[in-house]
Amino acid sequence: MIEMLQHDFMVRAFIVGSLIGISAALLGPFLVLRRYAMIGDGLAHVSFASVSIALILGTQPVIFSIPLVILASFGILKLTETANVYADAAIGLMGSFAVALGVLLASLGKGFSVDLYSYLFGSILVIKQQEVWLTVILTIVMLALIAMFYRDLFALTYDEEYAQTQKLPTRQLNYFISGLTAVTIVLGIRVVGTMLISSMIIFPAVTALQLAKSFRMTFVYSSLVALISVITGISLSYIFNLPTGASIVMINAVLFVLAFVTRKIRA
Amino acid sequence: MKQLSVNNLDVNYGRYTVLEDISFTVEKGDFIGIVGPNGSGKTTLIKTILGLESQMNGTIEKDPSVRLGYLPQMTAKRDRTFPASVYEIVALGLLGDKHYPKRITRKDKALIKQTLSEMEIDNLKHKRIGDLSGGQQQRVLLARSLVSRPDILILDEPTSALDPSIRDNYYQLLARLNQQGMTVLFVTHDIASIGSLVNKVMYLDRELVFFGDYEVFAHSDKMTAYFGRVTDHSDCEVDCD
Repeated sequence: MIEMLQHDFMVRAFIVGSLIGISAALLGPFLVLRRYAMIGDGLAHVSFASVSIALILGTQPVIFSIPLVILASFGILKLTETANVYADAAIGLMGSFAVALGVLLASLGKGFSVDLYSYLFGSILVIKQQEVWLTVILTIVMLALIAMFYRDLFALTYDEEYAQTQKLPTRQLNYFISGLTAVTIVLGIRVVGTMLISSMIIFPAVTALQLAKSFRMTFVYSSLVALISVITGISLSYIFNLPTGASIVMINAVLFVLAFVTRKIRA
Repeated sequence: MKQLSVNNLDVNYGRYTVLEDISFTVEKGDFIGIVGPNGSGKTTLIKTILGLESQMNGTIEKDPSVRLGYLPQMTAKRDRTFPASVYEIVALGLLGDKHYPKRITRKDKALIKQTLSEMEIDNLKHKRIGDLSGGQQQRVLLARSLVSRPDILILDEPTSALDPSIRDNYYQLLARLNQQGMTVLFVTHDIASIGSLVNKVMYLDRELVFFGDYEVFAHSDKMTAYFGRVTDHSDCEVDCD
């Protein structure tokens, strides 16, 4: 462990991975419990398209993608609100359109296929200092916002109609949570890639749901699962020369199975 | 003392009229049973009073100091695996009056404790709501509605999923709250069971067919017509339930 931490790139990987992991883990319960978990997958597909555009334009993909993916997340909500499209169908529409666009652009811009590959499957070990700072700042802002609106989001997740009777801004909260998810997805594609980023939202939340008896503890467990899987996954990938993103997801899967078995034994 | 008045209320979804020209007044201490056939606009009426319906014409007058509590219909679709404790659910009832970051203060904690005790569920406060029986869950949701000390409590068929013995117990609880001065608006199909509790009945069928004293309603042809409609299944070719 100490040897690993002597490398700057490993320190950066641990910092960025842990921050993104916690952000995703805190958003996960809100999305999973409202049957919106697949929005992570849909937005990851959108980020694939936006990264392709950024690489063609020669701009910084993460900074370029954040506003585009936020807009796409709002587009998904708007589709469900105004076009009477079910949420899962709206996510599917947006995601498949974006993948098709990304593939077309990738075939046009042959020169950036190696770069694109690193965004597909993550490349946390080659993360730059500028990206670390961007991640630190945005994660702190997101965590502060989630803490500020925690009770409203809880009310919205448990019973949206009752939340409306309490005069909570439910529509704005829906857009808010989608926007935060979009930012987390874009930041997370450097950690595990667009193919696997939704797992960082879904796995910790679903694992926590096996064990938690209260809403608050769901977030505690979810964050712990995210931290353990990120730190163990990055360490294993360093020691055994494995792909980092896939290693993180595999640890997540192991923790989920352990939590599931624990719940069954308790029952 | 007048607490709420609804004047010439119309609710339309496009060309479909759900409620037409509804006018009535709610006095402090009223216990009003709202009845009517399925699709008669009962739930729409209470949602309009709660400010959840935007497709309305007419006016709803309420003193800003009059607080509304709401207990929604208990449906089977409620997620039994939802990871929330009884305490957390009851605390949600205090959100409406709070400023960000909406922390739970000592005063709030005392209110929650008192409400849990009044609803006789203080021993369940750390339990996950999905682990409770239907009757216990409904008490928790009633506690959520009551923790903010509303002046008017609005309930939408709260006992439809409960078995009869638990239902009677629940009615006694509502009677006690009403005796303590709380106004109750109660949407139900079970007017016969709560006849001894209510002082007024509202019979809706997209329009206000009857609104007045329970005694008058009980001896009117309207009552006969109402129960005839909900119990006479002789013309059903298949199971009407």
